[in-house]
Amino acid sequence: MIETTALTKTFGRTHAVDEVTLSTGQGVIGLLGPNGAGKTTLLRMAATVLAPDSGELRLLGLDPTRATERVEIRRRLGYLPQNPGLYPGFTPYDMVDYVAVLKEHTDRAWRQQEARRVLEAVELTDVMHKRIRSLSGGMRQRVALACALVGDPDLLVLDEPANGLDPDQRLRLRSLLSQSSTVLMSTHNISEVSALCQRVYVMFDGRVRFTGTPADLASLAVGRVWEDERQDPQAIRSWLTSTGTYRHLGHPPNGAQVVDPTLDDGYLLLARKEHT
Amino acid sequence: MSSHHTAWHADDSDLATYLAGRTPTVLAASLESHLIGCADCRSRLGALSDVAERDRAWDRLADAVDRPSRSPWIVRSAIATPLMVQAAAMAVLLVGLVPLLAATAWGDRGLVTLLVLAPLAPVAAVALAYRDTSDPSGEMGLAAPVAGLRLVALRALLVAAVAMPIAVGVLLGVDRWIGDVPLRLAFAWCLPGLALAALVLLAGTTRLDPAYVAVAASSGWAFLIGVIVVAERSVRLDLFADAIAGPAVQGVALVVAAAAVVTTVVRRDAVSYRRTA
Repeated sequence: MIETTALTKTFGRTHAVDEVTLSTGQGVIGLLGPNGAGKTTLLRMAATVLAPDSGELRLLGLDPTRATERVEIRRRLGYLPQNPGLYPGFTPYDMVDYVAVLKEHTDRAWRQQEARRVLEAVELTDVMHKRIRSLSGGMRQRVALACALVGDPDLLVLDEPANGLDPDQRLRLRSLLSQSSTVLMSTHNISEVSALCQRVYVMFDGRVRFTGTPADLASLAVGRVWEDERQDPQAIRSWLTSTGTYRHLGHPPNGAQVVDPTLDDGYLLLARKEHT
Repeated sequence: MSSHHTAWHADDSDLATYLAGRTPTVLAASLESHLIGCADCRSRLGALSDVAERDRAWDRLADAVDRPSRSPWIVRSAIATPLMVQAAAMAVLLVGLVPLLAATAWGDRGLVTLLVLAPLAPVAAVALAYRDTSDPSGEMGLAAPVAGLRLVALRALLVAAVAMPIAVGVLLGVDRWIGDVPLRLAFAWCLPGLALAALVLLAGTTRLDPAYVAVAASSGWAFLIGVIVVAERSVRLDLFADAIAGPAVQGVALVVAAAAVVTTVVRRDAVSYRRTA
């Protein structure tokens, strides 16, 4: 559904996305990485909002650099940007209706049904006629998500969709995304990756440094995680857990109590390698 | 209504009358108050009601509450928010009100003002069409199929379609300008205006800010009018008619407009994407 070959985007001298090659199938695909890793730039290219400088990009089997194919992609695309520009004077209903117009849905009756459907999906029917300016941050995020869902798109590109959502809403989001065909989403929340994503890409400095399943990412730290009551200065990373013991990453000393790694362990180990 | 031990229950006939909306107001209020606390009567009321008709009633209510804007979709995509309406209104006012006031205040000099300002209508329309800050959907709108030249052209055309006839009408509507010369002049600015607007449209396919290009193009046009005034040392209408409506200015305007539009269409990809980081 999303294929890139040596995809590159630069801003001045900064290589925001640097020769990224990836190929995803259907399902929920997670993009992990620290701030400035290039996740948002990659997503904006996948959403046809930014043009690549070089390399190839194919979305839903189509080439977005060709005008006619780009329009076809956009007809089948839902996009949630990092900072959705929601007009505060609109109601959620107006906002969804406006986005439906931009998505070429000229039939009013269809737009009416679709607005109800997507607003119900994000549980905003109670407030759909209130001004967006009066809604909480989490509700605004759900309005933007509802806009992305208009027309039941084949490809959803979501930049940190769980931003501002409470735990209950995050569960609802998981359920929603699991029903979608293909979702490319960035997140800082590793537990979401583990719960949602069939595949995960980890980016550092504009490049993809890891590709695999969430289990693969966790397995990077097999035999590299141990716990002790005292902090080990030899560990490359250590932190105090809620049980009062220290969890360490690195080469365990003889006799250390090695434990099963989590997705966080795998990610932190990868991040540490990238910066040493 | 019948009493049962300490509580009373509504008769079926009372409930049927209530459903039909024929219960007197005071009795209906009493019945409604009872129904709130009596599950048995609520259940009997539900059994008596026509489910299909009830569903239709809910649908009618939802249709009335959730009805999308009645505006045609073209208008909705062009002037959906007050900001967008203000932008469009500004373009219309530029040619409608200002030249009229100028002509009223300064007579023939008002014509010069009008000639300076009239072509700004399409220029302003195009420049405003590029303003992404006024689009209520922000970056989401860029990922929509109508984004790009289609949306910009639609917004510009809608504003220009309102503003340009007003500009022509203002010229024709003022008594003192009725006659051969004003009629020529009334339409003579259209092609130069189109050329300037097309240049601004073209600017949108580059890294230049269309708003600045609009100001530069408008200043250039004003300078040209100024040159004519200085060269002829007069603001006589016939001189302007010869200069502006003449084949030289009209020909150049036509060529510039055509070239800019063709180049814009060729470079339309640049409008389709986000223009800045």
